Amino acid sequence: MRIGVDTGGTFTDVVLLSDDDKIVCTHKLLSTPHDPSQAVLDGIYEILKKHADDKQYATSSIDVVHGSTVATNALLELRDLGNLKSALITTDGFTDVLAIARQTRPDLYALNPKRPTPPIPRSHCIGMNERLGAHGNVLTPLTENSINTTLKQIRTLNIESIAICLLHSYANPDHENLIADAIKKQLPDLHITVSSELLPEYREYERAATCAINAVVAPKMEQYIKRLENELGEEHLRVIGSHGGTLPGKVVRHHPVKTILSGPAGGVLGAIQSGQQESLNNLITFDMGGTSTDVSLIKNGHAHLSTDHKAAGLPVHLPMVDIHTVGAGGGSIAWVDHGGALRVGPQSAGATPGPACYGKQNPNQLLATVTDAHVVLGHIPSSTKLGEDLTLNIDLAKQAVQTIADQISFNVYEAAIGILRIAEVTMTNAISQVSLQLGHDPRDYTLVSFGGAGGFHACNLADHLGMTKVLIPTNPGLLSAVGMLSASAVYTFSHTLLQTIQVDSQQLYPNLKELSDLQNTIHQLEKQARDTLTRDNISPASQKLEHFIDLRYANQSYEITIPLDVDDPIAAFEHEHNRLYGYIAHSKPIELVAARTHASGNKFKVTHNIITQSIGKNKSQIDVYEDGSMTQFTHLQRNQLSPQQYIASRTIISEYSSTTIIPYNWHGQVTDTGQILLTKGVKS
Amino acid sequence: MNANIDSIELEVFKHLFASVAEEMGIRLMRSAYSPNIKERRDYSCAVFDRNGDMIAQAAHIPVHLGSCPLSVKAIIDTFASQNITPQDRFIVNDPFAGGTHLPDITVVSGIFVNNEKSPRFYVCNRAHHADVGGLTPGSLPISSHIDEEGVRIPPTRITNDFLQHVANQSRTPDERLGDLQAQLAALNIGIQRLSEMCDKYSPDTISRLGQELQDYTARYTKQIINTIPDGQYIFTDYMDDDGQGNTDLPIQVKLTIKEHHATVDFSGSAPQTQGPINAVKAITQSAVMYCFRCLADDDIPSNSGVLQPVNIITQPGTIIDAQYPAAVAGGNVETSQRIVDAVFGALAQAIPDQIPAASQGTMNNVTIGSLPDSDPSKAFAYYETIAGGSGATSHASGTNAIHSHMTNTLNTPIEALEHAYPFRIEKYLIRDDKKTSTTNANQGGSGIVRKYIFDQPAIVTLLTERRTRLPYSLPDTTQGGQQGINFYTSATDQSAKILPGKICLNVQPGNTIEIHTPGGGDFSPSK
Repeated sequence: MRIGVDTGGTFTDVVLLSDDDKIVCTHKLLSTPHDPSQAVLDGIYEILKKHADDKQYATSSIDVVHGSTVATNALLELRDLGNLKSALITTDGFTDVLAIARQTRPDLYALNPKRPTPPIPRSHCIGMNERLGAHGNVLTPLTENSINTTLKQIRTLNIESIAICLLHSYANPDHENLIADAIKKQLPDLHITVSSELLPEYREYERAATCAINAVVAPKMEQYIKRLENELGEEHLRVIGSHGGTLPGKVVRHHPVKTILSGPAGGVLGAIQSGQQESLNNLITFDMGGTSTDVSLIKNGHAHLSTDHKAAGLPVHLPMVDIHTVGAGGGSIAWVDHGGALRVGPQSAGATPGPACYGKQNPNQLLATVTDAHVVLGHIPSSTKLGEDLTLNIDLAKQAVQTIADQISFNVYEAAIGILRIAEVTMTNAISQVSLQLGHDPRDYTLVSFGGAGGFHACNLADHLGMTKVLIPTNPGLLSAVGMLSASAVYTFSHTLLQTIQVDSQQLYPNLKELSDLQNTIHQLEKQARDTLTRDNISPASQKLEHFIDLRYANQSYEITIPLDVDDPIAAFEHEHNRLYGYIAHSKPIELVAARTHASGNKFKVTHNIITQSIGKNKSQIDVYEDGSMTQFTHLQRNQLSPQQYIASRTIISEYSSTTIIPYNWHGQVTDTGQILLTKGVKS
Repeated sequence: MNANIDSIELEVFKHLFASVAEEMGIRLMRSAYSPNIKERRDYSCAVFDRNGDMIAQAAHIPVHLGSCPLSVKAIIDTFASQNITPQDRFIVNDPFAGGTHLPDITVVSGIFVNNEKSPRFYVCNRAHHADVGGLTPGSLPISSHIDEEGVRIPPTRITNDFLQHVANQSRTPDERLGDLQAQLAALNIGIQRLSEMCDKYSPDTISRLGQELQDYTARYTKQIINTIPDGQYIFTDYMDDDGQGNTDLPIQVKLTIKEHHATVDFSGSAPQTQGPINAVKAITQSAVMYCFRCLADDDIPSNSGVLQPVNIITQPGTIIDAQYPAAVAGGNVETSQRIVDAVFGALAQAIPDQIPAASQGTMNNVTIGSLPDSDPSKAFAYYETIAGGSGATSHASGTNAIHSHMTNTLNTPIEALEHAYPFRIEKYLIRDDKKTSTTNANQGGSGIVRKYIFDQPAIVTLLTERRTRLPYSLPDTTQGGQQGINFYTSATDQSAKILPGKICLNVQPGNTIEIHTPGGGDFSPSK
């Protein structure tokens, strides 16, 4: 028995898996932001009760995989309150590292430029008298005296957590460790973040910000994870990390910043799992909700990872699933600017008052949203229930879109199509950023659409990008929780090498694989990786290790990661450089920057219940605006579909909390596991 | 709204053009070699129509805004009578033929459709190169003639030999060649993306929308000018000095607002001066364009339309319209900031509650390089700018330690800098010496303290401003924010000496230079 729990801002989703990996029960309840562990524990008890066999399982024998947005929410909340419960120790003379940031302004043309509030205020950044050089050499030694002076200062601050980030500590962690040891001894209750341990990489601002965020969210996360561990048993809890693998609670308590993208990473894992059921391993995920849209790229069943992510406008430079977010969602508001262009967003009507069709907006000042445009065009059948006490008000949607139509001299339908087209261009650009801009052609990928509003736009977006396949997973609302259940333990280990590789007299590069330094490093990384996986009770047979190296031309700043199991790593690097940047710098020195080992356990299987028969056969016809006139579309309920059922073009499929449109030039088929696979073109 | 405008297409293509410019920038950053491009992102990328009018610029560096079109036009003017082919790439940096100052090198390419004889569109990118030769490393010398500032490239068709020739004029040829290669790679992605747009929507649609987007921005700017009361507003601000002994050089703006149009007349400005703070007209145009672009509170495309309702009058041979052979190294980086101060000073009289007090008004240019007789394999040239305080507004205080107006380059991470160069940073802090105003004024933001210590002999050049005159407060412009100061200590004598704002000096191991950047002016709201 395993349980997946996904805590979002509003709802907590729970999925129960039987011992033979089948989903046997699902459950949804309201989240409890004041104490997030409450909803998690309630959800687990409730799903066990709901499941008929509850009596035979004690909660203590059940493995729980959990993902949440708690770290992100804690960061936003604490920072905006001017958090005074955390401090940062830096090298003397650099205490404003967080306040100065990279000295730029986010908005180029702002008359009063502002930057995101730092995670820790200036008053709580403390300088330490010590200094290392670029190679880790000691320029100013750290004395016991300066440590004690600083500790005295810390005592007066009444803090709960502290981050230590000294210049060049990635090259020599000794000073940071000495300070950490002293704090542990004298202030044992303080949560400590050591930068050379969390992120041993150069660029002081990004490292300090990442560590400061870790310190800021640590007290809340520690309390929350501890409570879960107490109830469930430490060995039964795994948490989804931003890198798309599971972490034990101990790691999360120590480095909570590693879960800053935990929730969205769950969605990406769910999409991978969905794709695998149909043998589709190259995917672009498209998760469109009420206020924003998340997209990411999956190649060969692996999510693309990146290290330059931002949370609340602040850098978090840890390997994370490369999720790109844009502020376009179902609630995005349409408006006309001074120059006469129709704009959509970034303002959103959110859940309250919500789109005009919810009937909660001021009737004298109706704001048209993306959802209202869908209502006008007939994409949302009038019978649709929006929620407990909400019914669809088509007239209000029309009135709202009409106000836009009047301003731009279009009729109400064309204005609605325009609103959708503009929202779609924003989303298309987001997908280009995770695909085309990184050298991946979206035409080789399948679009996996989920989130409340994804199905409305999936086929259109695919058209814009030349994609020919769209997958709509079963139970899209529970995709994250299901994805979390499939996740394996994943760890990455790296070691900086910084060696320059020169060509010989015949203009040939040496064979990198024969470099003894690299061989030794890989050997060490492998040992480290196996030890860690073994501690996680993963048997040697299930341990999967992959080795990579980071290469760049000498003096470039951005590395290209190459798997070490290719025949000629240098040739592979040149090929990638050419693919990404359009040229090869023949016989220029190449820098071997780092070696990396990616270690994981087996992925878990999750099988959806196979639908053997449909619930009913009620088909109805609805009017949908298409190409200048109303056209009849078939309206189906998702739970009426049977495996292998063909879905013709011009169909709308409704299900709980989402809707899928199959336009005139697309058709589809229900798969054996109940997913819907849509294909471009009309079946001949 | 005008029934001839397709409000929907306009918005869709606004995003499409912008993403072409942005993607060029990403490719340039990721494949470049010098810290100034890859870490500080001192570059801009843009898309132009067949006339060289700008359709879209990515939100990179404002000082490149109005000046990139002049580079593209210079290429068109030089080569229009010859056959330009799709394979041709062009290069220019000559300030008197489409450039701004020599370190900013622009590369341009045409985009051809339907087998037409001349390009339908152009793409360009401009990057600041850390050294292009000249008197001192970093190529921002205290010069008195353009020939002392480095290699001057007229509009030229690129060949491999020519690129090598340009690179060889630099103290760091390998780095130059790598950066130029990255610039060309960035052009290629721009060409590819814009060609794909033409295939998808037809070249004529793309051309038409390119024009409509410029009209859109022009319309938007007119609407804004419309909200400014008609009248004439005069303001004069001053450059501290030109580094060659000439001080208090006026930049005067006579702003006339009349019938949805603005005339910005700089005729009362100082004649061009001996030292390197002369700005060519392209820079003046960029600065004016920036000021009006700031008045739009929305995210509108930055293109040639901004200047359509704005008439700029300059007298050739003045400090803001310099002619050959003026020294111009600092015009782009320093005088451009003062032009903004002067234009905003005039606008503050017209719309007092909307305009902020002056920001630091300088970029605090620091260039450091190896001595001419040092080992060529260890030659280096380093360039950076340092942020300062921004000006307060009628409703809020200014921001500490942030780049303002004509630049927005990142700092070089200290850990990256100390790996690459033989000097270190000892201090990088927000200034704490701001006087607290006794009035109820909103406070200007504070400047920065950045202290360098040298491990090897080197040549340091400082091009800094607001060392004698303060960034003005509002509404009382006789008051001001924090004054910038440059200090120097030698290894033997630890007492700090004050250095002038513009100076070139040789430093020895153990010497330090400490820059205190200016803070923004205060704003006293009317009661």
